[in-house]
Amino acid sequence: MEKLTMKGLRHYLGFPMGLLLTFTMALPIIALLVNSLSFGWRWPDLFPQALTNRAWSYVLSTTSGTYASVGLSLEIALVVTIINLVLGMPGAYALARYNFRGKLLVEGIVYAPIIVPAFASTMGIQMTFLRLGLTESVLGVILAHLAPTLPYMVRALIISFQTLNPSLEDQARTLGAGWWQCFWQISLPHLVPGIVAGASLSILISLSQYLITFLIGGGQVVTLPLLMFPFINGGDLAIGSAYAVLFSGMAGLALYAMSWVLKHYYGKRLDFHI
Amino acid sequence: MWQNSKPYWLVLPTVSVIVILFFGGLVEGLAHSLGYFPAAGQLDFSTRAYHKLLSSKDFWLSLWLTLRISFLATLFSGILGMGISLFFLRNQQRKSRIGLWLQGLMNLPLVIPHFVGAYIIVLMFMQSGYLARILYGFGLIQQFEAFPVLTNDPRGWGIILAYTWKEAPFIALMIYPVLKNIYSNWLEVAKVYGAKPWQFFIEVVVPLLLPAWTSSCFIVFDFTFSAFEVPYLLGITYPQMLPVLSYTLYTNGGWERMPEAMAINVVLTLITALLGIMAYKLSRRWGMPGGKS
Amino acid sequence: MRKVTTPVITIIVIAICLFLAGCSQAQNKSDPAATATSTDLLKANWDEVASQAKGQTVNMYMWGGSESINRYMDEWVAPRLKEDYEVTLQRVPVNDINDTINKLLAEKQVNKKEGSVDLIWINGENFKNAKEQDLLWGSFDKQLPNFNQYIDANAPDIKDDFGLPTEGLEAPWGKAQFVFIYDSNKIKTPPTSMAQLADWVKQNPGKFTYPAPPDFTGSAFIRQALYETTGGYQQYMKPLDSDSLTPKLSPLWNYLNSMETSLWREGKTYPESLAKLDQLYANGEVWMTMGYDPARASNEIKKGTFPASTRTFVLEAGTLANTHYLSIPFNSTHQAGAMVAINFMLSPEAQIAKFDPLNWGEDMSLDLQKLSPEDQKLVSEIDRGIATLPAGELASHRLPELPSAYVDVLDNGWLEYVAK
Repeated sequence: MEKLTMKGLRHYLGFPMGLLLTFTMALPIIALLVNSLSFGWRWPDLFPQALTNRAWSYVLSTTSGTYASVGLSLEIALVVTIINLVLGMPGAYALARYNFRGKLLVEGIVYAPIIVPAFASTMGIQMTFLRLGLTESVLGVILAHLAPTLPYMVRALIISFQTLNPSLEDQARTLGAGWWQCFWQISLPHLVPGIVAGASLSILISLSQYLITFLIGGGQVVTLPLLMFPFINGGDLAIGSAYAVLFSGMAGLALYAMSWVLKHYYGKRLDFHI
Repeated sequence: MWQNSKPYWLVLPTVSVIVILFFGGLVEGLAHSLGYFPAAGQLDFSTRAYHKLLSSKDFWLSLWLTLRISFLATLFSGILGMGISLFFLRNQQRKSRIGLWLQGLMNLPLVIPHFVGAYIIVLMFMQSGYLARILYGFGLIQQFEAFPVLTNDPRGWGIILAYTWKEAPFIALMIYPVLKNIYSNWLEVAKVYGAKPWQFFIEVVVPLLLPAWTSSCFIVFDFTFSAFEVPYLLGITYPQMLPVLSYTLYTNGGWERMPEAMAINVVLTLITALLGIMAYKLSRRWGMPGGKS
Repeated sequence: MRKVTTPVITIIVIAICLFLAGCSQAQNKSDPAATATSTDLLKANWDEVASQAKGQTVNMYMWGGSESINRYMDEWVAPRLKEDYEVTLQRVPVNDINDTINKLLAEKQVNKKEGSVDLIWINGENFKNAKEQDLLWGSFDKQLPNFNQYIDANAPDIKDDFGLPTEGLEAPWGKAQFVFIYDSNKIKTPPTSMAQLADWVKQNPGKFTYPAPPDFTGSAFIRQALYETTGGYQQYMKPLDSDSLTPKLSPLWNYLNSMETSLWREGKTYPESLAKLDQLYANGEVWMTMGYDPARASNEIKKGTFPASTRTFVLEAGTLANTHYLSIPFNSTHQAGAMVAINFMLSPEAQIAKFDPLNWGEDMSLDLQKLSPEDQKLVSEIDRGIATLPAGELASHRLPELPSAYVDVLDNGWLEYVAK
């Protein structure tokens, strides 16, 4: 089996192909990094004439507001993810295990924000949020981030529940385990990969919202995308690049830390799947 | 009694949040597009915004451009995503360290927000960008005018490139579990029947993968159709993609034109919902991507 | 089965409670410190204003895409304001100030009395919209000691903002003038009129373009062309009359269309922002760029973005100049703090620091004659950079801006007659 697959794949997709793919995917990041460090980088130089830390020293200075916005972005993403987890868990359980009237409708409602653009809804709801005093607050932004992230969490959890054999839980129950014990010791460990996947998407999507945060936050909730947007859109491009690199690093680290914590806790090898 | 209503209680938190926060916004937008806007004391309904929108050339040009860009971006990222997914599979079987490392790199676009992706595309593909410089370095072009116009171009190639780069790993991740299942479940059988690798790929893998692939592609199409940031940064002045047109009308048009912006949102919602239902039908018939197929 | 759901519901309830607790905290953030009603404040004497301002935090909404401007605000202005007046300045970075005007408009609609915007940096079109929609607080500038002492309140370029009387709703912060930026290695003698520019463009196809309106700079370029192709600016210094304007504009569209095929990419597309044009210039794709900031070219040389041979020029008949202002919105909760902050930013100290290219390098809004001899000497000693034209040459080539109602007509006309 091993041999056949490998031969087959090598036939279509050798190592050079993989290298090319990687090149396509990763080269842009390198270009971004170089751009953030470059001084006088003009056509047709492949590399900048000189390097400078100007952009980075601004981004990392205490007055630029970078640290506060990184903290705020992570805080919002974390709270959004925890709420998603708590809200999504029972829903995912029901959708994975039960057949009930109107299930199709429920699924339609739950998945709708994946396909319908969130800004369409946010533009509509902005006035109501304003009247309720929810704009310009972290709470409002968190609420606005729920719609585009929750469906992904539910989806990931449903898949995990589907692969969890119900008889395993039943066995535990017949052996006298209570509901809580059963959930905590049997179901939850099995769900960890799904939680990691759902939480990863939830964190990523929340971290990279610009328009929704801007419309609801009204400038008072300055997450990293808000701080960097003026630089990327017509501002200082070296600083924009530095922020972009910082953002990628932050997102990557957040995901890594989260999956590490969960893995560590359950001591399981996890496959990242969605 | 409780037994019957239990699933409803379980889905209640999720559903109520999405209904209030998401559908609530859509309904308000719909009402506003029909001229109903209590905040400004407008309580009558009218279809004026739609008349104005549907009779304007700008709207149709934008719609056409949006469809074209989304279609091409989906096609390219679908093909590239399939390639990446096969590469992942090969890595998994080989357990090569370099391979896994490359795999990690390939996931990079996933952690980068779309607007940064757009900016990266500018750096790489503008006429005097990084790629043109590499070509110049190899002596393939003599001046940057020889490099094709790929950013802020009227046909939206820059936007297509940005989406392809960003969505290909997404598709790869979506179809990878299915692909893995196919190989582990069917390869043995195929071997028994003496199928050649390419036969196996064409006759077994492709048909089995198609539903998952198609439904992921639908999601990507929907996304590219309605996302704002990338076309905002990479588009041209005229015509604009629909989400950008909506945003421009919403923030620059004053109060009179807001209903038009909302009307565009309603149109976007209807089209994406329609496509979403199709994707949903596909995935229900063949099982969700990532689920057990 | 009941016991299955109970824990779940308990968790949800606890979560929601925690969540709501978190929110009420987040909401309490806006302090109701400002007590005196706003009308009192408009009549109060300066000492009262200053004492009320103590301890307030002022949210200043301004474009956030420039390192030097951000640093000037955060590292020069804010600490001094805190130290000397106990006012905390919180800069809120904005992508486009028009979005902030829109936000205020929405707040006005739902009658939100306690807004978070205390101070905005605006002019032109945005000022017009804000003024027409009653989004600004009141006439405050005569109360500012520095306004009264150092600013020539009757100068046309101070009194009117794009043709619209400011009526004290905003206080002038700085001045800008349109200049062309070119590479002196590639262009030996830059054009001195729009007609010469067109000739130059035709002789050097592909080496010139301008940002597409409604980009601010692109729009200014169109107005610059309007003045020279239709016989001067004086005829436009009156309220807009669309009917009589339309026929007058055809020489302008003819002028722009005649150079279109010789533009960058044969005029099939235009850079959508000044930043994009700058990038083209930095990479040598085009040989000229432009901008509403005479000191920018020097700054970009310093940053390494523009080649060292970059210089600037103005047209013989003059180039557009405008003033930009600071204003206080109708629902600001810290008007006293905002007034103190504005007054400080109009002080000779702050203006001279702003004038210095080491900080920002932008023209002062103050009347040079009104400064003390020592300050005048300080100003004359500042080296504004190799590419910046002398202050005298700039000042003698200044043309006023059009009333902003024209700007929309021109931008839309450009889309209609040139872009499509």
